[in-house]
Amino acid sequence: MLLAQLGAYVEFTIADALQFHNNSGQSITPLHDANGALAYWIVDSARVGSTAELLSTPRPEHESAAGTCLVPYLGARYVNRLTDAQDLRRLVLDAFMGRCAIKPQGSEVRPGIWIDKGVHLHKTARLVAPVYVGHHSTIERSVLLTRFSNLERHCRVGEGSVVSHTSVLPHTLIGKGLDISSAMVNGSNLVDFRRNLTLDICDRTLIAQSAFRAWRVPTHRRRQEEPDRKHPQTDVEYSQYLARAAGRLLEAFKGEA
Amino acid sequence: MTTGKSVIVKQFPCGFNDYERFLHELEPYLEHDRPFLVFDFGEVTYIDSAGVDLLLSCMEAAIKNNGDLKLASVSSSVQVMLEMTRVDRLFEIFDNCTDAIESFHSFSARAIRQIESLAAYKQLKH
Repeated sequence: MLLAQLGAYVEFTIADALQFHNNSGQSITPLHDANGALAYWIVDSARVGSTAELLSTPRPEHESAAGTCLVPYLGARYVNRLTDAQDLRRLVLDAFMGRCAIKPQGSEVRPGIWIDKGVHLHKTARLVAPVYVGHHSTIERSVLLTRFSNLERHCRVGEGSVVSHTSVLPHTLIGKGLDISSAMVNGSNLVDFRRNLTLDICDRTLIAQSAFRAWRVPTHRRRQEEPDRKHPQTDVEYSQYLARAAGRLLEAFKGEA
Repeated sequence: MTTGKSVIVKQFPCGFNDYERFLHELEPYLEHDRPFLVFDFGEVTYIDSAGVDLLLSCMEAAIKNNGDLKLASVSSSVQVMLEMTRVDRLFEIFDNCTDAIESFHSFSARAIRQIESLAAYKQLKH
C-alpha cells in the first residue's frame, strides 16, 4: 500500500521502491530525499501489527511508532515539495524543460506551443515558445504570451497585455494593457518573484477571479466575504460605462463650450 | 512534433546603410506563404533603433503570412539592446543557427537561450 500525504510532487519508480521495501524487511518504508522526509510511505498492511502503528506518522528521525529504526527509500527521480508559489513556478519551468515527467496537455500546434481544447486565440496575439494555454481560455487582441508562461484553464488575458515568465492559475482574468513578468497570478493575488512580494489587488480592471469561479462559491459565503458589494457587475463594465457616459456628455456640451 | 518546413537563414546586416538592401532581398521570402526565417546575428555587435524597427517589420510580415522569425547567435551587446527595448520577448533566441532551424521542426527547451529564464530559475531557488 502506498500512503501519501498531499503536498510534495514526487516521481519515483514504484517497482524499484517496492523492491527496496521488500529487501529492507520493514513494515513501513518512508520516502526521503536529501532534504528529509517526503510524506510518502510504502506500507505492508499484512505486516503492520495494529491500526495504531499504521496511522502513526513515522518520525523524522526514521523511527516507527514502535521505536524501531526505519530505513528510508532515497530513489526519487524528481522532487518538488510545493511549499509555496516559487515551488509551483519551478515545477512549471521543469515541466517545460523536460526535467520532470509532466507534459503539457492539449495539442502542440507549433513546436513548444501547447493549446488545449476550446481556446479562443485572437489572430493578432503572439505566442513565443514555450507556452501553454489551458482549455477554454481566451487570449484577446495583440496579447503577447511569451517564454515559459502557462495560462491555465478558463483564464482570460485582455487586449494588449504581455505575460512573460508567468504562471496564471485557473479562472483568472487579466486586464487590458498590462505587463506581467516573473510572477504568478491567482485571481486577485499576484506573487512577484523578482521583488519577492505578494499583492492582493482589489481593482478588478487589473486582475480578478473569473465569474465562473465566483459562481462556485456558496452564495451565503460570498455575501459574508463581500458585504458592501451591492451590484454584481464587474468594475470593468462599470468603468466602460463611465467612459461611454463621459463621451456622451462631451458631445452634448460641445456646442456650449 | 516534427514537420517538414523549409527555413530561410539570413545574415542580419551590421549597419544602417545595409538595412534597405537587406529588406529588399528579404521581400520575396516574406511574401511567401508561411515564411520561416532565421536571422543570424553572428557578425552584428550593435543594433540601433532602425535595426529594431527592421526586426519588428520583418516579424510582422512573417506572422501576417502565418510564418515566424527567430534569432540566432545574438551577441551580449545586441541582447542588452533587445532587452532594453523589450523586443527580446517577441522572439525565440538561440545560440546558433542550427538550433534555430531545428526549433521550427521540434521543440527543445534546452536550445533556447535562457539568459533571463535561467536567472529567474536561480532566483526561485534562493
